Amino acid sequence: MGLEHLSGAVGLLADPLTLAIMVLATFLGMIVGALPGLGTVTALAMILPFTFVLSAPQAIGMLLAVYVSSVYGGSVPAILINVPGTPQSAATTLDGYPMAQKGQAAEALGWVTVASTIGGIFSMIVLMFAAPQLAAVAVRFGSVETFALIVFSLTTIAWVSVGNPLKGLLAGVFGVMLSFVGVDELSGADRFTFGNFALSAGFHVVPILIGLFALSEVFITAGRGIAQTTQPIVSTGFKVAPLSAWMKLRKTLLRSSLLGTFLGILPGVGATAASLIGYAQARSGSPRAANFGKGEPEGIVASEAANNAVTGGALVPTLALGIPGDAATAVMLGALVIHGITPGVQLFDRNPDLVSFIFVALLVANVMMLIAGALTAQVFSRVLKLPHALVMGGVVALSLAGSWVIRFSMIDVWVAVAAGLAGLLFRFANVPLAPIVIGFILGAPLEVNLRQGLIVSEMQPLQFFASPIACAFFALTAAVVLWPAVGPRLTIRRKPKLEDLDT
Amino acid sequence: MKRILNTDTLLGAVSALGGVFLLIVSHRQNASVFVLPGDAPPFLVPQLFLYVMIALSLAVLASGILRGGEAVPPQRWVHLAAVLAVVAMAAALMKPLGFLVVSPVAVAAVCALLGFRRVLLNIVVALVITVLLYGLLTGLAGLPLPKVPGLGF
Repeated sequence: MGLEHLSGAVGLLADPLTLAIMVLATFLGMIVGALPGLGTVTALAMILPFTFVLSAPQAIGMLLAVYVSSVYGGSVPAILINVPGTPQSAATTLDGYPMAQKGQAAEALGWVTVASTIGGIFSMIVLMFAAPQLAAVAVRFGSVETFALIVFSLTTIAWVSVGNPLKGLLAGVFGVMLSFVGVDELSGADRFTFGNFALSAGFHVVPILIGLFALSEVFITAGRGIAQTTQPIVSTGFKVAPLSAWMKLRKTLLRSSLLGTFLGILPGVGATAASLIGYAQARSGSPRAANFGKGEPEGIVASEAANNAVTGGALVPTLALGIPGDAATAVMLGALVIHGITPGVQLFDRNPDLVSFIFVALLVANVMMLIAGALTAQVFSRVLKLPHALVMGGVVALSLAGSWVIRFSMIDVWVAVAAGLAGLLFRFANVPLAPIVIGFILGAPLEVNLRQGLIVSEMQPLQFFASPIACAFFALTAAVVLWPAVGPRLTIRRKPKLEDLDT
Repeated sequence: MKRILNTDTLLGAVSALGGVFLLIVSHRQNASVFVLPGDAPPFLVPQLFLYVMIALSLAVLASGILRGGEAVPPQRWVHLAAVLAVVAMAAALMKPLGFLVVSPVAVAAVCALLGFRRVLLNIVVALVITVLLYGLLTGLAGLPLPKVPGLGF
C-alpha cells in the first residue's frame, strides 16, 4: 500500500462531515450493541438505508464505525449487569461481571475499552499488509479443514472447565445437542422438535445467553437474598490500568488479537467463537488461571481483544474475494456494491485509494471507539450505584424485550426463561456455563462441515487425513487432549537428568 | 440417603435419562427420514453426541455417589419460586396484554420480591425502564414490541 494512497485516504477522512458522521455512528453503534437482542448485524442493517444518500467514503466510514463500536458496546452490560449485549461479549461476562461485583466496574470498563481498541487496530494492520495473501489461505479451508478447526476449537471446553472437567464436558455436549434442534440443513428432516412447528427454526444463541447469564442471575439473587450479597464500594467511571499492568498481559493481547484476526478470516466461525476461544486460550496458559471467573482482568482482555480483532479479519475475505467473513460484513458487502464498488482481488489494483481509505477509517473508528467508550463509561457505570433490586428488575425487562426482538417469536422468550431456570440449576450443581455456549455455537458448523466432508469424500472418513491443514489441526487436538496425561510424565523424566548434571 | 441425593447424582441421573429418551426418539425418527445419496443420516451426529452425553452423565452420577456432590446452599425458596412465577407469567402475558402493560408490573414485582420497599419509587422506576426500553427498541431501532390490545402501541 503506497504512501501516496494512504495520504489520499487521510485527505478523504479529514472531511469534517465524514468525521462527524463517524462520531455519531460510533455512539449509535455503542448504544445498539449494548441492548441485548439487537447486535452488530441489526445495527448495520439499521443504518444501511442512511448510507444511500452519502458518498462512498462517508458510507464506508459510517458502517465501519458502527461495526467496531457495536462489538465493543455489547461488553458494557456484560460487565455491569451480566447481560451480554451482543453474543460476542458472552465471554466478557465471565470475568467482567465478577469485577463489577467487587466494586471494580471502572477498571473493568477501562480494560475492555483499551483491549478492544488494541485488538481492532491489530487486525487493521494485518488487513493493511496481508489481505490478499490471507484471503488465499482462507480459500484453502474447505469443509474438511473447517471441521478439523472446529474439533480443535471444542477442546477449549476443557480449558474453561478446569477443576470440573466432567461437568464441563457434559455442559459442552449439552450445548452441542441444543444446536441440533430444528430442521436439518442438509436433509430437511425435523430433529427433536416433537411436532412443534415453532421449534423448526431451532434455537437462537441470544435467548440462550440472556437466560443462562442474565435471568439466572436474577433467580440466584432472589434465592440468596440481596442482604446476603456484600455491597462493595462501587467505583464508577473509567479507569485505565497503568502501562506496567498492560505489559504483563502483552502476550495475551497479542495471542488473542492474532486468534481473533485469524478466526475472522475464516467464514462461518465468527466473533462469538473467537472471544470464547481467546478466553479459553488465555486461561490455559495463564499463571493466574485460578483467578479466571473471579474478576481476572486477563480474561476480559483476552475475550475483548479477540472479538474486536475479528472486525479486521472478517474484512479480509470480504475485500479480497468478495466473500463476507460474517453476517456483519455481508451487510457491508451489500453497501459497497450499492455504491458501485466490486470487492475482489482487483479492488486492490483498481481502487487503491478506496482500499487505503478503508484501512485508515478502521483505524480512526477504533480510536473513536476508545474515546467514546471512555466518555460513555462515566454514564453507564452509574447503573451500579442503583439499588441492586432495581438493576435486577431492569434485567428482567431487558431480557423479555431482548429475547422477543430477535425473531419476534414467543419461542425465543420461552427459551430465555427456560435457559434462566436451567442456568440456575446448573449453578446449583457447579456446572460451568461457558461450555454450553461454546458447544451451541460450534455444534451446527461442526456437523454441517463433517457431513459435507463425508459427501465430498464419498463417505470415506479416512480421506480427511489427506488434507495437511486438517492433519495439523487433528494433531493439535490430540496434543491438547493427551497433554494432561502425558505432560507430567515428561516433566518427571526430565528432572533426574538435571540432577545428574549437578552431581 | 443424604450421600446419594446430592446435586451431582441428580444432575447425572436427569441428564442420563434425558439422553436415553432423546436417543430413543432419534432412532424412531431416523427410520422415517429420507437420506440423500452419499450423505450421513441426519441423526448420526446427534446420536453420537447422545452416547457421549449418556456416558458423561453416568460418570457424573457415579462421582456423585462415590465422592458425594455439592449441597445446594441455603435458599429463600419462596422468594425464588415467586420470582420464577413472575417471570414466567410475564412471558406468557407479554403477547396478549402488550409489553407496556406487562413489563412494569413484572419489574415492580421482581424489585419488591428482591426487597426494594419504597413502593412509589419502585413503580416510577418500573415505568421509566419500560418506556425507555420501548422508546429505544421501537422508536430508535424500529423493532416492534407486543402491543397493548386496542391501543396500537
